[in-house]
Amino acid sequence: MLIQLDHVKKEYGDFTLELDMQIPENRVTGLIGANGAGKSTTFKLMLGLIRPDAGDVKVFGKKAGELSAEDRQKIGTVFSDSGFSEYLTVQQVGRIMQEFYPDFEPEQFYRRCEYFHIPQKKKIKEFSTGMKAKLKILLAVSHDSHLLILDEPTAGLDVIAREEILDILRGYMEVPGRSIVISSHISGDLEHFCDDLYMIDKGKIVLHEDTDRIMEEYGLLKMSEQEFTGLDKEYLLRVKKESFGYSCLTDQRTYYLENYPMIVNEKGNIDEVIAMLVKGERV
Amino acid sequence: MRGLLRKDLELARLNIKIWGALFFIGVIYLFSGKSMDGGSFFTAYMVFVSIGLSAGTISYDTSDHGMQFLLTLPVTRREYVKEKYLFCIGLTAVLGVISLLISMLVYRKVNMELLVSAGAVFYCAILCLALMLPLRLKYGDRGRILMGGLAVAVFAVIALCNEILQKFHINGNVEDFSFARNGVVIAVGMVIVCVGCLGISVKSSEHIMEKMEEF
Repeated sequence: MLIQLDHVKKEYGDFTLELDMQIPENRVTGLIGANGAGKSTTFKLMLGLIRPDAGDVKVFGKKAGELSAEDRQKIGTVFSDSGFSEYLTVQQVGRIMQEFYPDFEPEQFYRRCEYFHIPQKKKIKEFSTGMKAKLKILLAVSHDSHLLILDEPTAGLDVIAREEILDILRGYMEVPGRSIVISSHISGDLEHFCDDLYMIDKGKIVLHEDTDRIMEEYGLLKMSEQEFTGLDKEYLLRVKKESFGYSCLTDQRTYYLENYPMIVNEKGNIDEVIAMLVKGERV
Repeated sequence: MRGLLRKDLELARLNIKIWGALFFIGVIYLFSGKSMDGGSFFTAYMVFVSIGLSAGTISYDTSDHGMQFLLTLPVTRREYVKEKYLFCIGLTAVLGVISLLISMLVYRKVNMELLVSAGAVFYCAILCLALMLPLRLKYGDRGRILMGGLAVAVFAVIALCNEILQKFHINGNVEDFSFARNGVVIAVGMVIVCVGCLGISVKSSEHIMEKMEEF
């Protein structure tokens, strides 16, 4: 396991984060949840920026707070609201990166900046939001990192810019032994990119599942009260009273398709699954 | 640590125009001063300008949650503290020596008084940094206001001590204290105090950084 969070707890006033999480090699793991759900707190715990009040956080087999400078050379990080001082230019940042990372390749980095139309001699504060986001990603992938931790790297970007960033990340994953942990509150970014997803709500993991399974086997059933009364409820995860009757979330969509063909049976997208997990009631 | 030093040098270069303007003002004082007085003032002025500009790199580090990102780079919190002290003291020393050499060149002589004055200024600068850096790390830009308040408090304490000494009919001249007649004793004492203060300052800063969770 590259990252392991065991019975981790962190309290901030009336907010409590409590979770378990494992990030293996060769995986892209998504962390999805609303603003304030605890995604950034989880990432700060992984990076050793904050200490848990209980439990263990291990990265590369070591406690996150005890990572050495050499360990951190294997990690690339992106925060949506934080980075190098924006008074610096790309050229200056390139020189700084060379001193931090022995395997930083400046020629490749500057070539990529040129490809993505990122000016080298302009101050970062003069960049557009998209350029800043792309620069952060390019910096994170420009040295031989084994692990990328990306906290909302596509925040505030248009569709084209988001796709460009996801393309860079797909290229990064072509080398074996690497992993990415990426968070977003935009499900569309993660649906087609992540191997598995953790859904987080109010500091707790409400679901951890392979993305393919969510897209294929999770579904929304919609039915009248009468239909609900006669329904086999064994594979229902959540239920919600609606004006027309009931909405139900299931992870065995095929079973209900075969046995209850008259019931409306929709493939769940990630947003709908999250909404039901958060707002629905357990059966 | 090389990455942090490179970062701070690149940040210091951002203010090259300010450095130039302040240096120019200092040069004016250098040429307008009487004999070596201008030289002493120029050296002291440049030393304290360099403190302000070098310690100011902490503001760049902390603005826009920058510290959060910095601490994910290949650096430990202790290394960050050590580098900051090395950078600030190193830059202050380099500029102090350059200013001193310029003063000597202008007046074309090596004057013991100028050298002693430069030494005293550098000593005060170290003490100032020892106080300033932990405050800047803990309180950010509010640390500057706190420093100002502390300076006022220090002067108030000195004034009060002077009043008390006067009441006991001690004039406060250095000659009144027999041990102070020995220059070597003074110098060694000052070095011990300086090293002690720096040591406490570094430990305080490391403690502040180790505990930091709000960026």
